[in-house]
Order: sequence, then C-alpha cells, then structure tokens
Amino acid sequence: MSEPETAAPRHLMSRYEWRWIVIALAGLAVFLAMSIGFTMSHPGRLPMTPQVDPVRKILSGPMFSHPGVTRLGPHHYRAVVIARQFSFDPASIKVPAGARVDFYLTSADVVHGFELPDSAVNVELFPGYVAHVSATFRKPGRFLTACNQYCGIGHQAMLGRFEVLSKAAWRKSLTAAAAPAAPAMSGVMAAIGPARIADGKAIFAVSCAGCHQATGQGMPGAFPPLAGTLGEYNGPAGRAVLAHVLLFGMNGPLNAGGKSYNGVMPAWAAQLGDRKIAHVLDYIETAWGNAKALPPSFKPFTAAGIAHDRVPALTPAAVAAEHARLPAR
Amino acid sequence: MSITAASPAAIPADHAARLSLRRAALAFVLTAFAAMTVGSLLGPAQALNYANIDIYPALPVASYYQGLSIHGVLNGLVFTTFFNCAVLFYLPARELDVPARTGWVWLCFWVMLAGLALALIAILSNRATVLYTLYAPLEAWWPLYVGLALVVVGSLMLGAETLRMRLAWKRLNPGRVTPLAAYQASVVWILWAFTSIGIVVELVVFLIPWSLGLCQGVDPLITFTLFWYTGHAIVYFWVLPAYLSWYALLPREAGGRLVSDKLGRLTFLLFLLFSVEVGLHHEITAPGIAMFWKMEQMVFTFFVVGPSLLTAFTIAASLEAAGRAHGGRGWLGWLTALPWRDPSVAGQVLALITFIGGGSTGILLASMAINPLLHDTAFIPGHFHITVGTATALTFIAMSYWLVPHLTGRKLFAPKLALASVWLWAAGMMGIGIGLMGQGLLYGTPRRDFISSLPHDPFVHPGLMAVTAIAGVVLLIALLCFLVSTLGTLFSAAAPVALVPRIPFGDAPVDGESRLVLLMDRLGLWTIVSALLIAMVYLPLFWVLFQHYVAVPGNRMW
Repeated sequence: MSEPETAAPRHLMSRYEWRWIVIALAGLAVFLAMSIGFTMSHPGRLPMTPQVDPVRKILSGPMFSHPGVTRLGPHHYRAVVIARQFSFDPASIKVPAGARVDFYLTSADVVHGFELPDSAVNVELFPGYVAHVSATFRKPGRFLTACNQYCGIGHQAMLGRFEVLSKAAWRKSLTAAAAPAAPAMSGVMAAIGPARIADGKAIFAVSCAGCHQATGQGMPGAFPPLAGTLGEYNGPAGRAVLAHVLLFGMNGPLNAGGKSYNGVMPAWAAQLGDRKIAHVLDYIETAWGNAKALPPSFKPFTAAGIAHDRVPALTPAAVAAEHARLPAR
Repeated sequence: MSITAASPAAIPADHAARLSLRRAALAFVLTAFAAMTVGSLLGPAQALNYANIDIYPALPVASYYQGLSIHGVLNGLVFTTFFNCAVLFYLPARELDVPARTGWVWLCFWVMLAGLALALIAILSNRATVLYTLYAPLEAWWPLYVGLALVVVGSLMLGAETLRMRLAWKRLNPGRVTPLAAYQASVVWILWAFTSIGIVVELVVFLIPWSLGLCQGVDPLITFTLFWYTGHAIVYFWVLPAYLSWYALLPREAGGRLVSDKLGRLTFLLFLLFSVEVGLHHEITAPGIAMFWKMEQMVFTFFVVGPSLLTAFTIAASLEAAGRAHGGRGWLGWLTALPWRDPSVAGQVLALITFIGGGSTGILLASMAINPLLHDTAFIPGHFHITVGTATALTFIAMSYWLVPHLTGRKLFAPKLALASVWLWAAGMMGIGIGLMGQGLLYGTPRRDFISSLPHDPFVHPGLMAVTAIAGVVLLIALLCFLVSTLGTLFSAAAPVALVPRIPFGDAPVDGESRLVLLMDRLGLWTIVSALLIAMVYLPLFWVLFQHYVAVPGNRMW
C-alpha cells in the first residue's frame, strides 16, 4: 500500500479541528442552557415525591383510599390515581378545561408508567413511592393514558381514559353523576341477591378486571374471556374446579370459546377470604349474560363451600390438569 | 482485503501460542454471533407487532414479552459482551505481543458460557420474562440473575488479564507509550470495571438473595438506579470497541492513516472520566430522586458528548484522507472513492453515517426539557437501534468479515453476499429507527408493548408502521446473508497464508515525546481520578436513596 499523500498538513488539520470543537461545544452549551432554563421555569413538570412508605401504608392512607378527581378550589383539581396490573384506578379521568390539575400517582404492585400523549405528563410509578406532577389542560379532548413501562403479560391492555371537558360539558357531567338505578334482577340473580352481586362486582373490578376486563372479554392470547365461556364448569365436578382456579391459580395453555390462551392465573387463596371468593364467583357466573346459561339447579356459592375446596391445596399445574379433564360443553 | 503491509506484530514468533490465542478469540466471536442470531430472529416479529401484525401464535415463544426478553438479553447483553471480550483481549495481545495466559482466558470463557447457559435456561422456560432491564419487583427465576452475574464476572477476569499484559509490556518497554489499540482497549476495560459495579451490586446484594427467598422484598427505585448506573455507561462499553476499530483499524482498511493518534487517546480517556456519572438521565421521569441530582447528571451527560464529537471529526478526516488517496475529488468525492467493495469498510462507514442520527437523538433524550415528551415511548427503541444496532452491531459484523477469516485461516466466503448484508443491515436499522422514533414522537406509542394483540388498536399509524414492518423483514434478509457468508467461511477449506487477512493495525505515528501523550498513558492515575469523580456523583445520591428503603415483594405476572 502506498503512503497516503493527500492527508492535509498538520497545522491545517488542527485549525479545522479547533473550529469544529468550538462550534460543537458552543452548540452543546446553548442546548444545555435551554434545557436547564426550561426545566427551572416549568416547575411541576417533573415528578416530586411527597411520600415514600410501604405499599400497604400508602394505599390505605387518606389520599389513595379514595382515588379519583376532587375539586380543591376554583380552577384547581386533584387527580389521585393508582396503577396496578393491568389497569388504572380510576379507569377514566375527567377534568375541566383550563383548570390546574395536581396528579398524585402510585403503583400497587410493579413499576408502571403514566403518560398523557400530547402533554408533558409522563411519569414512572414505583410501588412505595408517590409521584406528584401538575399540569393545566387548555383544550378539550380525549386522550389515552397508556402504561409505558413493561409490567407483565397484560401490559399492552393497560390503558386508561383521560378527558378534558369544555366548561359546559363539565357542568353537565356533574349533574349526571347521580348513580343510575340498579337494573331489575330476575331468576338466579334475584336468588343470589343484589348486595352479594354488587360486592362480587367490586372485588372483580379491583382484582380481576385488569386481565379479564370489566366487560369479561379477556385479552387475546393471554387471558380467556369469562363472558359466555363458563358453561364447562356447570357439571358437578366443574364447580369445585372453578373454585380451585381462583384459589390456587392455573398455568399452561387452555381453550375457551374455540381460541387458545397461554397466560398465568395467579392464586388468590392468600389475598381473598372464603366469602369474597364466593361473591366474586357468583358475580362472574351471572354477569355478561352468563346467568342465562346456568342450569335451573344452580345454587349460589357459599363461604363454607369455598372453605371445603381449600383443602387440600393444589399446585397451578394440578389445577390445569383437573381443568383439562372437564367435559367440554 | 487491501491489507498487505505487515505490521511488526503480525509476523509470528511463536506459532503455537498464536494459534491458541486465535482459538480462544474465535470461541468468543462465535458465541457472540450465535447469541445475536437467536436474538435477532425474534426481531422481525417485534417489528411486525409495531405494524399491528401478530405472528406470535406461530412462534415457539409463550408471549411477545418472552420473545422480547430473549431479544434484549441476547442482543443487548450477551452478543456485545462476548464480542467485546474477543476484540478487547485479542487485539492488545497481538499488538503488544507479550504472552497471554491462555488457560486463564479459557477459564474466563467457560465462566461466561456457564452464565449464558443459566440465563438461557431461565428465559427460555418463560420463568424470567422480565426483559433485559430486570426491573424489580418483577421477579425472575434465580438462574437468570446468577447467569448474568457470571457473564459480567468472566468478562472482568478477562479484562484483568489484558491489563496485566499491558503492565508486562510496560516493564519490557520502559518509557515507551502504549500502542494505540492496546491503550484504547485497556481504557475500555477499566471503564467496564467501573461500569459493572452497579449491576453487580444490584445482582449480588439485592436480586440474587431475593430470588432465592433469602429476603422478602427489594426497593424498586434503588435497584432501578443501580441498573441505570450501569445501564448508560454500558452503552460506551458496547460502542467503544467499534470506536477502537474506527480509530486503530479502519483508516488502514480504507487505505489511509489516522490523522491524529493523540486524539484517539484523548477521546477514550474522556470516556473513562465522564461515562459513568450520567445514569440518572434515564430516570428523569422517576419519582424519589430530587431535581438537583437529575440536573447534575444531565450536565455530565453533555460532557460525554464531547469525545463523540471529537471522533466524528477525526474519523471523518481520516476517511477523507483515505478517499483522496484513492483519487476522490471535491466536497464529497472522497466519500464515494472509498473502497466500498470491501464489506468490512462499507459496513463500518455505513455504521458511522447511521450513527449520526443515533448520536443526535441521544442528545435530545438527555435534555430534561425534551425527555418527558419521549421517555418510554417507541422513540427509545428507535433511538438505540441506530446506536447499538448500527454503530455497535454493524461495526462488529463488518469487523467479522476480516476477523473470522483471520482467526480461522480462511478466505471470506461470498464477499458480495457479505457486502449485501451490511447495506441491508444499515437500511433496515434506519427503517426501524425512523419507524419507531416517528411512532413515539408523533403518537406517543408506548415502547415494548404487544400492541398487535389489542382488539381496538389506538396506535395505528399506517405509514410509519409500514416502514417498521418492512425494515424488520429487510433485517431478517441481512441476517441470512451474514449467516451464509460466515458459515461459508467457517466451513471452507484453509486458505494459503498470503490470502488470509492480517490485523489491519494502523501506522499513525505516536508522538512519544508529547507531555500530553505521556500523561495520558498513566492509566493508574486516571483510574483514581475516574473513581473520585464517580464517587463524588453517586455516593451522595445513594446515601440519600438509602435513607428510605422500601421492601416490595416479588411479582411474576407474565
């Protein structure tokens, strides 16, 4: 190989190099100054941390035991949000346009994210840490609050709704907030009783809806739907298997409604007592039109029955095997 | 290859020792590319996911997230570490020409391979679907954590051997300045030792005891901060072997000469000083860390841009000199006059060009003003596919086109296919970069998200989605071209010695009289300065974080 003859002379090279370094560093310094200046002049944009405590203490504290939006004063609201696998509580946040909103957010389980696209609100949520950011939303609109930190198998479905309402729409929503009349109940549902169904629904909203969704539709590939697919549990063996699935969890592939699913059902034996499990089972057996598929001989689940199903304890794999032996309906 | 001039180190003095060094280096290189192949085969499925096409039911993985864990761990952590080990050990060993302890090198390899096997068992059995970021309290099965710790420890053992060889050379050559490649490799090993402290503490003190059931919970923010202590500086561990190739090898491969040996040293030294104190710019949107710390580390992040700007000038100037030596004229004629038919040169120049986009988006992301708009959106994976995916991975692929023939004593198989692979790789990564960054910037599409499974998809943006999907397929073709060429080289017959490429060490003159160069060669001193800087930035931060330790129990919802 021949010596490169055309390399620029050394002094020329270093002159160009110095020019380049000065211009590049000046550009960086200006950009850095802009970043610092903007950040200092927009307080409330990056998260502050009003509380660090064990998760249970935060969740049972005065703020997070009542998630939702409250009015603090004229044009000033507070939004308290709990993120948990795989939903936000509340799932839908509405605020009036032009008001300052103080967000207080935390996670109940793993690391989550809370981002409002088209705004500066983007925070990571750690269990044990409360994050506080503030923002004012001037234009009415609808946004998604997407969890943007991987949090488990249902991460993609962890979406909440965020609505900025015009003044008129906000006033209207306040008057419409009165609770809607409970739908009339008939047949099995009446036999179970509205109080038990309401309790089961509340437990479902917190512990189950993240995966199986409030609509009972589940999530493709991971979590089977519960709407219209519980017929297989109607036989004599099925009832105990259904209780076992809740108590001990289940894993491995399964079929529901002609589609295959491969997710993980966690065990709830430690978190939920016998009565709560009975109520949530009554709820899912009757919700989303499932009541129509129940045999006339159906009897509500009881705490005593669940206590009986708790012994002996099974592994998630054993429950899956038990489930596979059920006759298909 | 255009390398015919033999540098003094390329004349074998002890043939058997050379052969065993080559075998060891080849073991690291082939393990690296095996990991990259498995990880990259999942990439197209991820690109299609971002185009709302779900092909996961046809794949042998339990979920999108298991596939993503495999992709991240194998491509991000395993491929890079193994290939770095080969380059950062083999090049100095050959350049310094002092005997290496081959038995120790093989021990390092087996420790790392055992670690890789453990990590694979955990991830492939879907018991460690926690992505490569390992964020607690998602709790993986313990072999993942133990395996990754072994990979890091094995690589550090190899780094110690390289630094020992440099000291042995220094004793044999008193008063002389370390040759460039050996100097740069030594700096990277010292940097890696500092960098790895975070993840080693995270694994050994927190995650391993926790996953073995020895403690009830870990603090999610402290483990997160330890991860990012390592997590940003590790990108310099990934990219600096590529820089080493651009400084110490590429100018000669392109038919020119590095314009400044001094700047090649200064750049690496600046990385040693400023790489680690920047991890918090990954935590700008995290609670629990006061604004002061974030701002302090943002300023350091801007410091560490400096050496990359130096590199942009020095390498471009060296390539310009090479191009003009090949007859290139005018403003850009030197660029087209480079030996583009050489897949090793073409790949590295393409890596450099695509890295301009990666580097500049990195500066945007470091800004506290802009970061919250983009953080955790698809912009982030878009950004690092045109940094790690090109500057690092494409340079490694391009290097392998002389390195694998060199290590095996063969000729490169199907050079045209090899040339196609680097073009397709560069184009594919640019596509991934544009598609994902666009989705994140314009629509706030979350990153690492199985969006193709959503029934009513809120993230549909056809144009950018098509770019991402096509880029994924292009990358798959690039990978196949690379595999055919590399396997062909491995399984072809031994070539005559004259046709086997030698290490293209440059011959830029070392200014051994310069006080600056002599000062820069005192690596012991710079190790202490770097340690003090890191301690100054991180010790107060961790002292504050440990004032409130929240133990959160593990969770395995995947």
